[in-house]
Amino acid sequence: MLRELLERDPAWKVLPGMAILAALAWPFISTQSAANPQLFGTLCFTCLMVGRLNQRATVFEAGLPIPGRQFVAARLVALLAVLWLPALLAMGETLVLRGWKDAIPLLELAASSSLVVLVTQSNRIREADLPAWPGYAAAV
Amino acid sequence: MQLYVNPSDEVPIFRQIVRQITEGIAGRRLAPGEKLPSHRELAEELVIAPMTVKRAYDELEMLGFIETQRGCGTFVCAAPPKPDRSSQRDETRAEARMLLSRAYLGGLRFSDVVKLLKEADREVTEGRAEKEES
Amino acid sequence: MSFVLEFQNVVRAHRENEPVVDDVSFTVGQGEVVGLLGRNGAGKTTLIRLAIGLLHPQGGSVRAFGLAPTDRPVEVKKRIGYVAEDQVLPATATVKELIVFHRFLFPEWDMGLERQLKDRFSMPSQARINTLSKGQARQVALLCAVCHRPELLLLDEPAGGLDPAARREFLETAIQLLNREGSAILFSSHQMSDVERIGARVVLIERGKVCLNRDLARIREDFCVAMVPRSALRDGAVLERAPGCLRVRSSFDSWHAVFEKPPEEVSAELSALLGVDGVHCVRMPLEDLFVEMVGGQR
Repeated sequence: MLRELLERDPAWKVLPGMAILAALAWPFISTQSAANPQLFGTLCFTCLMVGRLNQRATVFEAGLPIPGRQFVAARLVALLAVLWLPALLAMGETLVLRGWKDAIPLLELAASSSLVVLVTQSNRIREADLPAWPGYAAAV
Repeated sequence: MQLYVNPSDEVPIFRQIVRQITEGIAGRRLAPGEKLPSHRELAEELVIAPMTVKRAYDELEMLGFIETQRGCGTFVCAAPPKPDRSSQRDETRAEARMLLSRAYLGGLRFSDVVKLLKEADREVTEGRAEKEES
Repeated sequence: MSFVLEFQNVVRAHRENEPVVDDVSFTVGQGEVVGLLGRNGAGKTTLIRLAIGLLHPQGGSVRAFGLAPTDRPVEVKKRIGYVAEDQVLPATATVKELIVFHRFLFPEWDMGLERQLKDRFSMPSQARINTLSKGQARQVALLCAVCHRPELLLLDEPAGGLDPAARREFLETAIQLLNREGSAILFSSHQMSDVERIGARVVLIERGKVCLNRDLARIREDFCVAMVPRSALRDGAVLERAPGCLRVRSSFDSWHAVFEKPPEEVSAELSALLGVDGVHCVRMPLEDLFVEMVGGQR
């Protein structure tokens, strides 16, 4: 079931594009810019919008005989993948080109974006009346 | 015989069907022994709930106009139900009072009602005459 | 006799003291078709969402097939079909992909019915859902909701925004399901003629409460509205106290009072009560009853 849901998540469609973008763009952005909160904010926002955080789908999902937690899990995995795979690609590049110190801001960026993703998705967890522990895990 | 229903009519749909079939039988547009469509067929044709058709057919069966044969379908009774003259008179009298009350409340006069009765008689028996000719 | 759907003293509120659903109780039996009527915002969508398990009742209980939809969602939803006006189908999936997905989710899928509906709706299998018209998307949603032969069909304004031909096709499909499976249907709608066609019972909701729960045939035969000119009666409260009166509404220069009694009886009683000659009482179609029961005062 999880696999089926994952296959259908629209986030996969943007993954190749994101990966390529990250791979191409990152080497041109200096370490300082990476710490720039504005860049961080824009990146997060773009990630989330493009990864389709559309809440209205829940009414349609509500009619399907799939446990709510599987929906949320599939969404989380897909969104995190969209975040991390390009990030890892970019980090790999940076490692090779500049050394591992420069790769750290990238790691921080990816981690913070993951947190934002988890927090925004935790709202959906609540809607689906699931146990609260994923929300706590996200807070950690 | 083609049935027609008007969902917004004052008369509930199942009763419209009961009336039309009764009139059809009285006017010989529905012949004795003729097969009626099944609940499902009529429901799909008229775009109404099958339960409504069942209700109409149940009432017609109770009145003795139609009968269901298991496995074969629903048919117009070969013989019309035995008329019970006295209770028929009482029923018709009650209906006549209802008819007149409504007509008077609606502003019609007795002479208007008589005229309408004659028209209705023509419509019901015309169907019978046509059937007998053909 | 067990009910397919049962609401018992259900309460649901957005905020304290602002209940959207306030002590609602009614049932839907096997094979029953129940029309849920009410003004916009009266609580119809909330009731349907409670039935599908999207919302928790904050008071009372909701049971579908004897189970609570929020406790056993998967079991319950396997036996329910759900179509809502505000449903958003996955936009980038194709029609075929969506149908295949549903086939996978529901083992009791009826391929014959699927083929028949695809033909009837001339469904473009390869089209992406975001390229379909509203009517076409609704037809896809309907197909996905009925082909697994549900015991209960929940429809939330299914005909909203559809043209009359599309509405008729929708009804025909619902009737077909009724014929084949004897499914129960709970549907909310503003299309009175649709409700009058396939509904057996009507539940009228006003501000979160059930104000009427009757068979449609009973409504047609046993209800009437009495129109009393204001010149004959200054205070509508007199009418409200008359036996059998459900509601009094002022309308331009007369009072409209809904009674659960035959019109001849009401006319006679009111004429005697008010000392007026011949109070005009008529039976009314569902739309007029709706307006008289929950419409505003003029």
